[in-house]
Amino acid sequence: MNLPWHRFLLPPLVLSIALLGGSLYVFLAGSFHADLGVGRLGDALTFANYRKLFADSFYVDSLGLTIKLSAITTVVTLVVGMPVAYVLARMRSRWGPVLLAVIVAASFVTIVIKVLGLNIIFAANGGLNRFLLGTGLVTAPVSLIGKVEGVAVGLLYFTLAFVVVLLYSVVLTIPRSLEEAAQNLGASRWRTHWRVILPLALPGIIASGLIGFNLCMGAFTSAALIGAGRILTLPVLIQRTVIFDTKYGMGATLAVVLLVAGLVVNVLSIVLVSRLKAARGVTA
Amino acid sequence: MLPLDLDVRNGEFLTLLGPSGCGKTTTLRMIAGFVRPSTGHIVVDGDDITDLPPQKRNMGMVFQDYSLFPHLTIADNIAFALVERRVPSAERARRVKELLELTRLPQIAQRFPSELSGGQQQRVALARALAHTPRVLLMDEPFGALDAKLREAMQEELRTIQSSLRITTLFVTHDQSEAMRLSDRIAVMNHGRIEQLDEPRTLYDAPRTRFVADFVGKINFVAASVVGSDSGRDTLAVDALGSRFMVRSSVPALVGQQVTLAIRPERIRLAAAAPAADGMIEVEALIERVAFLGNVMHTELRAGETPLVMESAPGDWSVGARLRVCFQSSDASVLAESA
Repeated sequence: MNLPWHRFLLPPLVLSIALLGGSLYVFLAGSFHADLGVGRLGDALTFANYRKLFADSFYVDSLGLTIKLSAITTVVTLVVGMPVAYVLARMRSRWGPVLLAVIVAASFVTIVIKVLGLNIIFAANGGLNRFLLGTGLVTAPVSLIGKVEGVAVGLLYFTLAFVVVLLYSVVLTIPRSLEEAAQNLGASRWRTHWRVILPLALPGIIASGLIGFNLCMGAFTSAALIGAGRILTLPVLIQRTVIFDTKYGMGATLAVVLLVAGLVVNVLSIVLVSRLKAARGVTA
Repeated sequence: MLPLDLDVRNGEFLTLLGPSGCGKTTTLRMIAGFVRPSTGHIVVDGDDITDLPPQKRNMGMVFQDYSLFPHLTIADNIAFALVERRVPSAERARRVKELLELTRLPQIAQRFPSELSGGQQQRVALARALAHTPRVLLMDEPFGALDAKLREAMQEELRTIQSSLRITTLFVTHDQSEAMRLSDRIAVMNHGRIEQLDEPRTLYDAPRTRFVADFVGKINFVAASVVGSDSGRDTLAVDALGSRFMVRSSVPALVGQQVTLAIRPERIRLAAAAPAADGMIEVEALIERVAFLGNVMHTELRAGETPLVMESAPGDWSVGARLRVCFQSSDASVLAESA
């Protein structure tokens, strides 16, 4: 029997394209119309929203903050995630898959719950602060709420599980015998990582990093809940512009800028990596 | 793994031969440092290396799947160990060139492993393992993935390189003809034990156990009963194939005991028309199968209940006919059963 399986793909394809394309069209189009107040848009096509956005340091700073926060979080996530992924992938005991399953399960927990957990951990009269105050390391309770560092921790919490799972599969593609070959040829554990595992994992690390970065760029919940209205990343700003100010035109413009900024960073990293590989191929 | 005592001589080519799962690869990996022996010691040139990590053992290993670094050029692959030993780059380049010439690799220094054929990758793996002049060269079934012709060419080359460098080499294979072709000595392994460690010739002519006789070359097994034993010497009088004769024995046996005789197929030949000479055992047998292999012919015979294989120059007999064949009683021996 030769069922036309590809026809089953048609409905989800149409639905996906309609939803993605429709929403993209709505905010792309909206960004070229001026806000007339209380949710009304002007009829004339205009770049006024874009001019306003790039002229106002408030918006530009928010864009800069979003990119910086995402980039730093991504780097920290990779630095923390890579050793975890490596150990899990190379674990010979049957605990490896169990631990991985725990991490996957953790990534299913909604960020709202995770942020609440963070709030409890860092509460002014919580265990951690009582301990820190008791040791004299701090003079006032440490809080994450309303702080850039707090949002970064929230974003890390959000992306780490994804990145660990991705890097786990990256490490699995590197044969263990390559590590043995390196050791046999005199490379210590650290040198083996530096000369064999990292170079081979690099494309996967970049890809995982970009996925983490994109998650951060669009992350709203942790930025909104931990930032508490004081840390205004672009997603938070978009929500405020649309919901509180009902400036649909400006909100759409911010969304376009966020999308394009993310796209540019992704394309730039991919170009940079392929350049790097090409250069290494020539000089090696 | 069972307790194992293996003494490799300086500069010799020693092969660990055995079926899969016999512990030969594990033994090699213990020496390389990837597996920790539960007891015992590994000593090289008087230095105990049992507790050294692999990177401090100064071994050169050729892996079964070559394990070349896919992200490095051939030159960088070969120079890997030299970089770890901080050899200056000029010296490094000279050594890489020397090794590429030694392994008769054409101008491929700047290529990547994925661009090479299996035979070329094999040679690069060997060059890489030799670059730092290791104390011992370890090879784990290196030719398993090559086709028969290429394998033979690589065996020749390896033998030439090994004897010109006089590097102590430990080779693992399950292919007995490869082991015979390459080795100074062969350790036949079975169930984690060494059954016999000898030169290829001794191994073939005087196998100590039934397993060794069966694994190294072809052999006939013939049931026999002991009719006389001489405790002072290693000979037995036996009844087999309708005759009574004296054979060598590597195990003591009592009168009346059932034993197994081993006879190589090429030791069986056509009987002459004249009466049998002293010590020549004659048997009449039915031809069951004939396999013509060009230079030799394998004739499968049945003498009563006993199947026999004769390897001889091609003759004009055919299936269904009867043949009178014979062998020297001194070519038959009683072998110990493997423990």
